[in-house]
Amino acid sequence: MARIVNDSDRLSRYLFNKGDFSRPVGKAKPRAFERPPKDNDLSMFHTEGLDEPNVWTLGASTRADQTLKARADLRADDVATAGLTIDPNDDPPRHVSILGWPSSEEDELQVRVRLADAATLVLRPTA
Amino acid sequence: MRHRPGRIPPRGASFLDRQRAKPSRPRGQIIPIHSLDASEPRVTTGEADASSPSAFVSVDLPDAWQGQELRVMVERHERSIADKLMLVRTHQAESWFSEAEAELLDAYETASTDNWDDEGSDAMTKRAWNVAHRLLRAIDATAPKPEIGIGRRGQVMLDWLISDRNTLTVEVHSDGHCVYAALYGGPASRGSMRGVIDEAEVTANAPDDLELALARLNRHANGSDR
Repeated sequence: MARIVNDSDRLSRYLFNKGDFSRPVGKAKPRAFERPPKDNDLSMFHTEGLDEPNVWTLGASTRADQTLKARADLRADDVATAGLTIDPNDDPPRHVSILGWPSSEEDELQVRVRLADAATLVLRPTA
Repeated sequence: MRHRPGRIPPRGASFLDRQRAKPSRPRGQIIPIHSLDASEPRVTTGEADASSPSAFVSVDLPDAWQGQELRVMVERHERSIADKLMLVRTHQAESWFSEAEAELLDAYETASTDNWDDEGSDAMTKRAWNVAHRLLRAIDATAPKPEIGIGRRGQVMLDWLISDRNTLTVEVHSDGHCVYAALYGGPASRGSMRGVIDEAEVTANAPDDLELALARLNRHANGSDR
């Protein structure tokens, strides 16, 4: 059965690079929402309904070779407000692809700035 | 091999070696020509015509100074102006520039080859480095220091997160052009700016759009226009 993402659901972008966020300001940077050079989509995860430990467990499992440092949480309707679409493809489980990026560089940067602005930064608790 | 600032790099020194070898004089300091040493610009002067008030100035930049913005100031015009000429290394006061410059060098070292992050990201080009360096130098010293990062397409990313609601990001791309986007203001008066800056617009003076964006961010962050 296809995954359903509601407007108010939480989507998480997992951050493995400390340059993706500002600890003093407590915000994700636009870089956190930049796609890989040759990809059309941005990877996020539908974390609605998961408790905090499981949100982190899911994130850590996505990149076993790197240390998860933080995450940027958005509501699904923040993504839509930025003019993007969500493809809940569940591959891997709970994965969603963010599609519909503008073709011009300045518009794309503006979208990333808006996503970073709307996102809530959550630092990974230290063990 | 690394070199201390101010030392002349050997022949064949790398791009980074030459950058590190740049003289470490404080920014904004006025340097009398007669005090310049061999590693610094060689300035020659002459008069085009003895009966004319005009004169010419030739500045020969050593490699280590390439990319630096220089201004030549005539303190007072006289027939012999050699002793009156001063080199003024831009208007920016000593501030965060040295720290930002070091971060920019680190970023270049990190991302100087493709796939520098094992995720297929593109390398940062020298051209992007040079434009970013010029941009940092040109920005008003009273502006906050930007955070410097590397994008996945090898672009230099300058982030001003002045507060949680007032942000400006400038990306300097591999071919030298820049794009920027800003958000500012509170919930009642949210504003935004975005645009493209051509490489040629990045001179000794910061592009007007960036100055305007930074001014708006500062104004809103200070709470004077919420």
